[in-house]
Amino acid sequence: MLPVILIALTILSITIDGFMSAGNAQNIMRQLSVILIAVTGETLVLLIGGIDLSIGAIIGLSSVCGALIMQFTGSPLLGLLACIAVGAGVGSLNGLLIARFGLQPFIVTFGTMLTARALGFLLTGGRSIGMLPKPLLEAGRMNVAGIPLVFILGLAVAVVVGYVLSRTAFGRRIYLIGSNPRAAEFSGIKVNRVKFQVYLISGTLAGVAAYVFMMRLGTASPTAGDQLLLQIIGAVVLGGTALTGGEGGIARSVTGAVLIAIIIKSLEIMGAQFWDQMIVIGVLTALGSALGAWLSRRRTRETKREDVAERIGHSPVEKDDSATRLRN
Amino acid sequence: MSLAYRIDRAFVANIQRYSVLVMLVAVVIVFASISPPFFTTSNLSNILLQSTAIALAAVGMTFVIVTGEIDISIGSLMSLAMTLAWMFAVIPGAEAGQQAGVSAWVYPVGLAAGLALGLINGWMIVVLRINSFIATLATMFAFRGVAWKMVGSSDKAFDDSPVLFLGRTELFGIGLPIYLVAIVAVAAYVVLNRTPFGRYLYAIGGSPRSAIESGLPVDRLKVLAFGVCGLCAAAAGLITIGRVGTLQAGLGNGFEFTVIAAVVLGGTSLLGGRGSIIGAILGAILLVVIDNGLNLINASVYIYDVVKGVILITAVLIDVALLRRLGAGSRAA
Repeated sequence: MLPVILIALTILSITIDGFMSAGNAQNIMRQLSVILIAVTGETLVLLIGGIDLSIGAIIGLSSVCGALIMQFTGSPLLGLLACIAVGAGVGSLNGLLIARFGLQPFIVTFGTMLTARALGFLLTGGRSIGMLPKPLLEAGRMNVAGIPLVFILGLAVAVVVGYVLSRTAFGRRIYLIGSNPRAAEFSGIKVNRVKFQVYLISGTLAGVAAYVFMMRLGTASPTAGDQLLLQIIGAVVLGGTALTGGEGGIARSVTGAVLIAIIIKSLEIMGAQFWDQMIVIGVLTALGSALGAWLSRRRTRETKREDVAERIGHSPVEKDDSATRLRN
Repeated sequence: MSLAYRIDRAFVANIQRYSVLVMLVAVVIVFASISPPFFTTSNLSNILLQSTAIALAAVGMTFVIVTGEIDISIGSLMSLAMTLAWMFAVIPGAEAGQQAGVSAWVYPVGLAAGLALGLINGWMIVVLRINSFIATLATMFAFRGVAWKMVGSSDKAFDDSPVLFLGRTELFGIGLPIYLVAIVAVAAYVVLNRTPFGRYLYAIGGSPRSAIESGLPVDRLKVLAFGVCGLCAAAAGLITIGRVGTLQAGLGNGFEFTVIAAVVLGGTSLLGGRGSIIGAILGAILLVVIDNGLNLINASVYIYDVVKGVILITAVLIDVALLRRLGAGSRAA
């Protein structure tokens, strides 16, 4: 995926005047900041074979709650705590219903999406909230060595989660559960506990993303995350994390998010309408996942039996491979 | 097996099968007791009429979900199919004004477009081997984008055109869409439960591996299921534009989730292999009853989704609990 980005950047910098300017780069980084944080949580969820549709709604509800607390107390720190608390609350509700009661992630997170979004509307009456504390806005506008602070925050979250995922036992458990839940269970992993933790983390990160959203834009709104959900899932999938679980990673999702951000920005500069952006994102998502599916099929295509397995959406041979690889 | 156990089992099985009906009756009783205007003939027939588009699309969606796949593009699909139909059927010269003359061609062209777009979804899933959630997420964007590009931000209004016939005609005091849904529901029930095609769809969702190994043309069947879903979504679109009287690019925004909620409320499992046409229709009616009742008691608009979200999750929780009791625990989740 990285070569694709480099090629895209080269073409764009040649064809579009001022694309490589510092101002434009900062602009893209700012836009990326919120998505980078949200995308890491969604990646963990997809890796265990789940899905979290409530991320966008959590961003909306958290931003509203955080903004109300900040208006009330004037303290950015309490605002951050409120955002995290709301995110963790919805996330643990998701985790409880999915891991403890065995409900399907799609339905659970769809239900919490509806509910969280509506609660945000109830709290604000549908309006967005401005007048956030000054220090927050100043921090949102700050650049460190020319790089926006919000982008550094986003990247830091992605790096930390990426480290946990690739270097710790917890991360390896996530991969194993996604690639082969039964093997994970047999090897003594408390699958349900890890699942709960993953949804909790995803919700919490969405809360953090909501805070960064407020830093960047200076407003909070129940619809803050509406446009983000599909972009987040699109970025994760375009990056090459499989919806079936067990395959993918944070770095891939980050490159997916960067690619989408670059494309959206260049379409904007070229004066494309938002419907052109929708078409391009749709086609890219389809092509990206078709390519990913083709590559992973090529890797595993050896015998007829495996081909049969693929057709039904499971590739047990590949999954066993990754399980042994992880144990070694 | 003791008699008491068997009675208990039969009882649980019946509640599980009819849980959406139980919920619907309960919600109707609650609203009827709080709000007098709720339980009147005019309001009830209004509810039925309002639920027709959701019910019709939910019937189509059941075909897809029964195979274990999902289609989240139907809101956009509906919008694009109606746009294509409008482009084809608009009478030249009438375009300039706000009120466009549109011929009866919208019906066949709209349905054909819906079928074709549904087949495209299916084709992406079986030929490009893309996960159905992602494939239809992609077409959800792409279809909507194309519809916007063609329609633009202005509404297309219909006046006195055949488009309004389906949405606004009454036969024996009952709206035409209600007859349409009844006919489609019976047909879909027969196809899904009494023909090989329908049983194969259940088989694919129930156990994909055995379906392939017993030689079923799984790919072709799945493409057909997506075609049926697109066709039904287009029919829902025809009802909607007929009732509303305008076409806009935002038509059907968020519709897919309402429809999936109706299907799930009706007891269809997203894992595939288990599904009910009647349940899907009752689920659609339940969702409209909630909107209508909350509206009549002057509840805040924002509370509607809270109630729907809570009811959806509660329904699934109860379903899983009952299925566990029936001893089908592994299939339940």
